[in-house]
Amino acid sequence: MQIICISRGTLRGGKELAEGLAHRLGVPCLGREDLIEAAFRDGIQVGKLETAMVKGGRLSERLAIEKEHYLAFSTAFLCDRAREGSLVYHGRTGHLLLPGVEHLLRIRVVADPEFRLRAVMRDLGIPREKARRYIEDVDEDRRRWVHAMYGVSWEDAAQYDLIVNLHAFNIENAAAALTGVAQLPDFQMSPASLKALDDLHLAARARVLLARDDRTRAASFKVTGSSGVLTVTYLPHSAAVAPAIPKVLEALEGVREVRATMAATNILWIEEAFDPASESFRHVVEVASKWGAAVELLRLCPAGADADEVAAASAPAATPPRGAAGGIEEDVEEPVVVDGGLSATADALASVGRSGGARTVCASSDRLIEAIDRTVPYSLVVVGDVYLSKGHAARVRLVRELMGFLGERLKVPTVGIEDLKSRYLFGRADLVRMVGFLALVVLVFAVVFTNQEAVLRFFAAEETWARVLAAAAAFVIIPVVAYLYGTVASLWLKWIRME
Amino acid sequence: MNRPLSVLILDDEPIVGKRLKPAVEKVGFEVETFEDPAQALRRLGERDFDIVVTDVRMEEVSGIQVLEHVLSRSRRTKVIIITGYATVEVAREALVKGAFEFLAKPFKPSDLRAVMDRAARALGHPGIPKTPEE
Repeated sequence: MQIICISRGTLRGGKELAEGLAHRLGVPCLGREDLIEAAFRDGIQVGKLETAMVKGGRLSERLAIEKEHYLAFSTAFLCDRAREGSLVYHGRTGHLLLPGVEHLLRIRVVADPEFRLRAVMRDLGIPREKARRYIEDVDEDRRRWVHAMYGVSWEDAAQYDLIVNLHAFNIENAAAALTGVAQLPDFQMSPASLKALDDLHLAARARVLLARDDRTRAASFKVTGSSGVLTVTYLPHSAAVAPAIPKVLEALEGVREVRATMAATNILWIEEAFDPASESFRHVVEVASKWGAAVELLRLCPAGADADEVAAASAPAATPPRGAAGGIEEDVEEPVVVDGGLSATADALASVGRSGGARTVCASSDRLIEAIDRTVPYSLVVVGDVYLSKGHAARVRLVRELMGFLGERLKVPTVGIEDLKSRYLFGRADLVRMVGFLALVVLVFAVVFTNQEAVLRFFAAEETWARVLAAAAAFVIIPVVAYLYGTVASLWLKWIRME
Repeated sequence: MNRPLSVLILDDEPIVGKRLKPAVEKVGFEVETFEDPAQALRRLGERDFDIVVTDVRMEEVSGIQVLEHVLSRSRRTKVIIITGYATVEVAREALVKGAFEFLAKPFKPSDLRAVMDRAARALGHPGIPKTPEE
């Protein structure tokens, strides 16, 4: 059994090459169009996802959930066909839907820019300049798509086993050459690949079921499968749906056991006003990406603030019923909520796959702790600007007290937003410091090892005063060297993200 | 006082016109809805509309063809494409051929009104008043 994935662009000949190759191999040929059609029929808002790329590539919280559903559906769709026998698939990056399945043959097709330009001018009936703009825009949209969906670069050559330039080949000859490649033992499925395919298939079908069920469709899940055991990881703010997970999945064919677990790495970020364009946001996302953590936003507003505002800001993102009539949803006027940038920041986090929920709490420090779910395994609490109505000195004191209070009660490292970068991110200042300390360590080692005899004589002296001096020297030098060496080591670990 | 802007809505699903017509009329636009692209094209041959809202995927005539037809008659008309079957390729084709905006279904009528407001302003019209009841 073989799976051949051809990554194609606009009018590059990829589709024709895939069809030619499938014909030669005598296997079915499946295109992205078939997948998209099936996804549309299943009620997935592919159009929303696609146009989000045209409009800059940002996904709202609601679309981020839709993305999970789309990816799971696509994986299940491909696995379904692959389990029936060999196939050739042509689309954007089909191979990324099947991670861990070795022996896939991953081919990228490129073509001469002039060839593409002429093809677009001919097929769309537009002049040269518009055709050029069309190609540039569509290529950029695809780059955004692959990055938003899979977090990788579409054009990274390491993603592919072969890159075929149809400028040098004609399609028939390219198909003939690839037929030979496809028959190499390196691209035949092994029992391990089949198992990986089965595990992916099971996990993808489970995720699709969770997306279809009203009890679980609004939540974000990560689902993995292994030999019939499904592990469903949910975010802390979706804990209420956890009891429904086994019920939704119990009827799924091939499941032996369902394990529902809360995500283990979470960052709680507390601010009074969030701003997704701020430096703080960038730092938090950087740390979260480094740790693979979800970020839960907690907007702390002064005690006694308007309760309506709290309720509105705390409500989860509304999800419309599936299959809204003719694609037109109810025209409900949404209240304008002043939420201190909470929703926009939650959407921005969802867009980078780091959203862990968002809510507003209006309470004093000691009441705040009641609003924090103590069962959530937070890895870090970040406290930003809060108590904004207070004067500078009072604010600094209150923030310090809040951090101490939270750290003590939650037993979790708690840092101020301004310290986040220096504590967890490797910056230019760290690099300079590491190089400087490393130079000192090298200097100390060089001095010691190029003067071994003198050093040994100094420490082996027999006179009493000399022994006292040697002991005093050891007392001073050893901690200094340890400090220098320890600093270099800790900065190095921070650099390679092993802190 | 500005004359009301004329809007043609074309979608082969009757529910779309049925739901969008009152939602657009309530902000003071004159709306005609069509389910049959051939009839809509005939009507477009009879008069120029300020704004045309069309689905992309229909039997016999595509929204892109409607777009080309409208713009060949009146460069001034703003064409808004709506579809559930959007792909970046279709969206970019529509935009490069002169569509004013591309709106993926499902959407709320208020989303369409927001786009129409921008289209109206681009036509020199003051746009949709914030509180039409007043």
